[in-house]
Parts: sequence; C-alpha cells; structure tokens
Amino acid sequence: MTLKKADASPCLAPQKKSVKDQYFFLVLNTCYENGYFEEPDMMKIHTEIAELLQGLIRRFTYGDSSSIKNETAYRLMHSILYVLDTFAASLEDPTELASIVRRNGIHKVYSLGMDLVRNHIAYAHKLYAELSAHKLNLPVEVYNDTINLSLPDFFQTYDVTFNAHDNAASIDYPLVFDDMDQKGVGYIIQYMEKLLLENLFCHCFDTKEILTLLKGYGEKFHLDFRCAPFNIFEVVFAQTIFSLLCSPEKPQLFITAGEFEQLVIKLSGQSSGNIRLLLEHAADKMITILKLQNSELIEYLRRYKKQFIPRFLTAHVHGNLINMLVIDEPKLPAEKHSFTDGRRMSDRDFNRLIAQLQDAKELKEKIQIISRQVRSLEDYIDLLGSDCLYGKEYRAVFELLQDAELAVLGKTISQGSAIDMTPIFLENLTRMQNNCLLDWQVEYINYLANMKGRSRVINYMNKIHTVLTDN
Amino acid sequence: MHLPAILDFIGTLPTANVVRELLELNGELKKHDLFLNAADAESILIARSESLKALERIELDLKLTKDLIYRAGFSPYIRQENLVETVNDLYEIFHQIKNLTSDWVADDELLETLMVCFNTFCGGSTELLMGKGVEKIVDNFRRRHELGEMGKEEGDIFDAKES
Repeated sequence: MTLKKADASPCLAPQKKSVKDQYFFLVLNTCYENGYFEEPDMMKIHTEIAELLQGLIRRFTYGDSSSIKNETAYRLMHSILYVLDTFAASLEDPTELASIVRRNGIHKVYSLGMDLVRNHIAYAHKLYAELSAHKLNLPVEVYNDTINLSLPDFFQTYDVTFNAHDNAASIDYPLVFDDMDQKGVGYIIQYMEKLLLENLFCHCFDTKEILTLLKGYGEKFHLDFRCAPFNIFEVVFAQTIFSLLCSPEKPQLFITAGEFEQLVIKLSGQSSGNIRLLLEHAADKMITILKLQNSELIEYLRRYKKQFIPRFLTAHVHGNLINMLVIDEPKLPAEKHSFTDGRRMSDRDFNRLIAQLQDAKELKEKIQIISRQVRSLEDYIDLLGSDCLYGKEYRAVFELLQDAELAVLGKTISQGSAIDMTPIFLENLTRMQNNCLLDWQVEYINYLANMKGRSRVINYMNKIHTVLTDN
Repeated sequence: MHLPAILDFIGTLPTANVVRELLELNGELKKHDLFLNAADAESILIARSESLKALERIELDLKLTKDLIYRAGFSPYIRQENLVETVNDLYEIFHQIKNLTSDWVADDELLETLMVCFNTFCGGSTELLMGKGVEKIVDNFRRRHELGEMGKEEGDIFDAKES
C-alpha cells in the first residue's frame, strides 16, 4: 500500500479526512512493512494497547471487577481504536505516526486522540446550532424529528470514554450522500455538514412553494409527504433542473403540463450526449442564477449532478421522465360536471332521444339535443355506441365536453392503465386504437391525439381512479 | 496487529510466573492441612482458561483464582481430595453468575456470597450450588435484594429446618 497524503480540501471541521475504521492499525502496519518500525517496536505497541484496554476495563468496572464479557472488551477496544484512528487521520503525513508513536508511546497518542475527539464534539455542538438556525420550516416529520430529537439525543448519550466509536443515534432522515462507514462523532459531523448544505440550497426557494411542491410530490406518488422518509433536497433539485430545461431564464418550482410537453418534444430525437450537455448547462445556470457562493455547496450540487444526469438519461430512454418531476396541475373548475350521478335517462326517454337525433338534419341540431338532454356517463356511452352519429359528428360531441368529462370517457377505453405523456404515448394510443371495437372509441383516440392540451386530459385521467373510488 | 490478538494477549499469562504465584498460597493452605503442587496449579490454570473461553469472558489477572484458593482453606467441605475440583467448579460458577448479572455485581461481594452459599445452604455441594444456588443468587440480584440476604424467605429450599 502506498501511503497517501491527507486531503487538502477546505474544512469546516477540525479535520476533513474521514476517520476510517482501524486506520491507525493500517498506517502502523504499513509503516512496519516500509521499515519505519522494527519488530520490538511493534511488540511494545501491542503491549501498550493491551495496557490501555486493561486500564479501560478497570475504569469500566469501577475497579470492582477484574473480568468482563468478551463482547464488552471488544466494544471497549473499538472505542480505543476510534480514538487512535481519529489521531492518525489528523496527521497531514501518515508516516509521521511512526515517529510520534516511537517518541511518545501509545498512552500519549491515545490522550492526544481523546483531545481531538472532544474538539470534534465541541465542533459538532456548534454545527448543530447552525443547523437548527437554518432548519427548513416544513411539516416533514422525519426531517424535523431528526433535527429536533435524534441529534440532541446523540449529544446526551454519546460516551466518548467507553463507546467513542458508536454514535447510537436514530438518524432517519435520508441524505443524498451519507457516509455510513464513518463512526462515532465523525459520522454525526459529516451528516450535519451535508444536511446543512442541503438546507442552504433549499433556502434559495420560497418555503411555501417548496411546501406546494412536496404536496404535489405526495399526491403523485400516493404518499403522505409529512410522514414519508424522502429527501427534500432531491425533490427541489430535480424540479429546479426541469424548470431550467423548460425555461432557462429563471428556476422555479412550478412546471405546467404544457411546459413539460414542450420539453419532451425538445428532447425527442436528441442524442444522449446533447441531453447531457443541456443538463450540465442547466446545473451551471442554476448555480449562477441562484447566486450561490458557498464553495462546499457548489461542490455538493456538482457531485449530486453526476448522480442525477444518468438517472435522467435512463428515464428519458424509457419514457419515464414524468416520474422525475411534479407537474403543476391547474385547479379544476368549480362548476359541476355534465355527468351527474343518478341522472340516467329512462329507456323510453333514451329511445326518444335517439329518434330525435336520427331525425335531425344538421350537426348543430344534434349537438343541441345532446347537450340539453344527456347527463349521465352511461347514457353518453350508450349514445356514442348507438350508430346515430358518424365521423366528424363524434368530434363535435367531444368538443362539447370539458377536460374532466373527456377524461372520464377516455378512462373507459384505457382500461385503468396510466398513460405516459412522452412521445411513446402516441404509440400507446395507437395500440389502444387497435384494440377499440367501436367507431366512437377510434374517433376519440384520434381526437385526443390531435388535441391541444391533451396532457391535461391525460393527467386527469390518471387521477380518475381516486375520484371514482371516492364516489 | 489485530483485535482478537490483543484480547488474547490480555487473557494470557506467562505460565511459569503464575504457577509460582499459586504455589505461594501453600503458606496459608498449610494451616488447613491443604497443599497444591505444580501439577495441581497447572490444572487449575488450564481449567480457568477453558472456563473463560466457554463463558466468553476475559480476565485481567489471577486475583479471583487466588482468592478462591485462599477461601477454600476455610471451607469445612473442602479436603485435599476435592480441593482442585472444587476450586475449578467454584471458579466456573462465579463467572456464570457474572454473565447472568451482566457484570453489575462486584467481584468481592459475589465471591463472599458464593462461599456463604456453598458452605451453608448447599452443604458443600457444587452441584446444588450450580443449580439452585445460582438461581437464587441471580434472582436476589434481579429483585435488588442484598446478595447476602439468602434463605431468609419462608419456604426457602435452602432452609435446613424444612429439609
């Protein structure tokens, strides 16, 4: 193994290099293999570490016992190692460890390591204060519980003497990058630093807008966003990038169906390389427009971008971009739908309606008869299938209907499956059309495929299940 | 260098030195017509290692073993023929109780209780001590009774008047 120099990245913490498990032993063994230690030195180190453990066992038992379970001894040993690892990780040049150990002995190194760990705890307290001050004001339970309960609980329970390696905190809020290999207070520090960066990014947007976005996110994925363990930064980041792809002037958290449809058209036929460039440009633009200056935050965003881009490209190829963002749904009109439960026509009235339509000479007259008399979905479907309308007459009838009503009709054809809105959507419609048995269904699909704003109808169609179920 | 090796290092004592330490107890054992030879001492040390391994414990020094041997001299039930076997049994029972009480009981307090139990309620029987004796000691601990308060309850199986 070639010993590497410590990272020189700018640091908030007393040391930036993460404390890897048993790093101290790794460095020592490497020093030994490279001739920095002789065999007697290693034996002396071995003996001194054993003495450290014996001393800790006596302290643990208050001197009342000279024996403990192996499991307890292992735990105490890991605690000692965490402290030694912390010291070793603090050195710019790992080879310095050899001379320090030879000169001062392990007991001194352990003492220096404990001082460092206590410094880290003090830093963690300051970091927590900053985190609390920049907490997002959002009703996301797992986020709030982590900051308000779990992190304070860590400070209450962390045992630097006998359990330094164990953070024993119930951290449930997920980050986009969480280094689970880290232990003890080191893990908590890296967690809080990253959470702070994510908070700083989200603070670039209005809290109410984020809340609306999260509500939409919850509705889209049928989950209660207040209770679900998802990462807020991820949702906001994705929405921002999509927004900049749709309209590069200003990042915002609301994207309409029309804007998304335009984006899909824009991306169709583009190579992965071109799309990647668009995404890179959008991410850079985001940093510029948001006037971000915190170098660690910028680095964090660039690191996350590298994860985001491949996911975007894969979703694009599979026609699933719709799953990566939240579409801003227009408010449904307050007026009642034409379809009203319980307003089904009697057989006699329906037959009279058909007779009137067959007698009507002009399309305009037919439309008037229908809009005056037909009120229920079942009657509408029976009417459409009654062979008293032909060709473009179907279109005229569809134009009578609002988006919601069209969606209800379409739902009867789509057989409950959600319809995608990417270019592959058109292929789905063609497949659906091939399965249609009735003229009006074929005409409906043609009408929908050529309709401006069909995305609204389709979005509504995807929600119809809930509406109908509630009814 | 790795973790298990360090723990083994703590648990291992230089044999020659420790045999000599145990044999030094013969000064006291002689007063009770008891004696340990080198083979006896080695046998005790081997049994000690096996007990610790079986019960998954480590011990920092020989204090408990030496205390047990010392106290054995005062027991009316320990003779030369059963000295080594009884010391080994008592040692194992001691560590069983330490495990069952999660190391919450101090060594001295537990050793005192163990010997009282062995010498009085168990009538010198390590089998009885290993069964009901351990159960009673652990039960008293869990009920936060003083370990010395053994056999005071009515109907206690250790009450000699009832047996």
